[in-house]
Amino acid sequence: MNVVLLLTHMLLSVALIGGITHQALGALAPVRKATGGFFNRFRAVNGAAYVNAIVILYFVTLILGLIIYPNYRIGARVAMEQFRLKASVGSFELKEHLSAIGLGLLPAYWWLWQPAQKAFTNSRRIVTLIIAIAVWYGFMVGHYLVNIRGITG
Amino acid sequence: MNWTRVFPVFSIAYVISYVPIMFYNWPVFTYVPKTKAFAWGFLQPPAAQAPGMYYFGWLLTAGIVAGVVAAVAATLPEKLIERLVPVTWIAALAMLGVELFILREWFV
Repeated sequence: MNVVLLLTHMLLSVALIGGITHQALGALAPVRKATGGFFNRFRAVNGAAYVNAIVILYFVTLILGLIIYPNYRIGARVAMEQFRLKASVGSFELKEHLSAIGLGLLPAYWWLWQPAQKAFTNSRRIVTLIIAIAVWYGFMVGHYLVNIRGITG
Repeated sequence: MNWTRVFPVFSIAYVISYVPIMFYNWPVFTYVPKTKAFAWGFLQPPAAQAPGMYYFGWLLTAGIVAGVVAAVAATLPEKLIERLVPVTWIAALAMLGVELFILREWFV
């Protein structure tokens, strides 16, 4: 069951990382028309259309992570501590706290992307970027730790 | 009244309160994964049952604090709340810096 939950957590995080990356790039380096090459088309999205999906994906991905977290705490983490992989354990600690900060930012993030809040462009961009960083960091650390035996031998 | 206008205040209160809640360990509840047991507040389980997990409780504590602050903020004028909007990301970046400082020992 934990494997199914872990894989679902991973798949949802892939969808989340795609959505938030499109939106963050669209907000930070907007283009008016989806013309030209890959990068132009990648960021030529209507960021507001992604908001509800990103909030739901973030929340569901976090809930799945919380469900499988005890397994990590009494399994993988104990093994990492025995092997003195301090930085790896610390990386997960940071993922945990970054995820919490991202969770706390979600209401403001949702509000900032509402059509009535056009005056707060900079805040919208920065909050979106912080959430994108939290998602990317969580994704990379999660994958590193899942594969740690293969990576570190 | 549009109650979503207090969302930025909720976020500010959440990110600012989360760090001391984590640092001083003020969870609403503790989960002990080996026994699958919950306990109110902070619990240091016996060595045979350790560790206790506090993260879930910290998230809930921060949510309750932020909810109370947001409810109070609902009585404030809209203009004042709008002036607080940039504090959302300033607080998040500041708290991230504090988190990195707290966690530095894992990386040295």
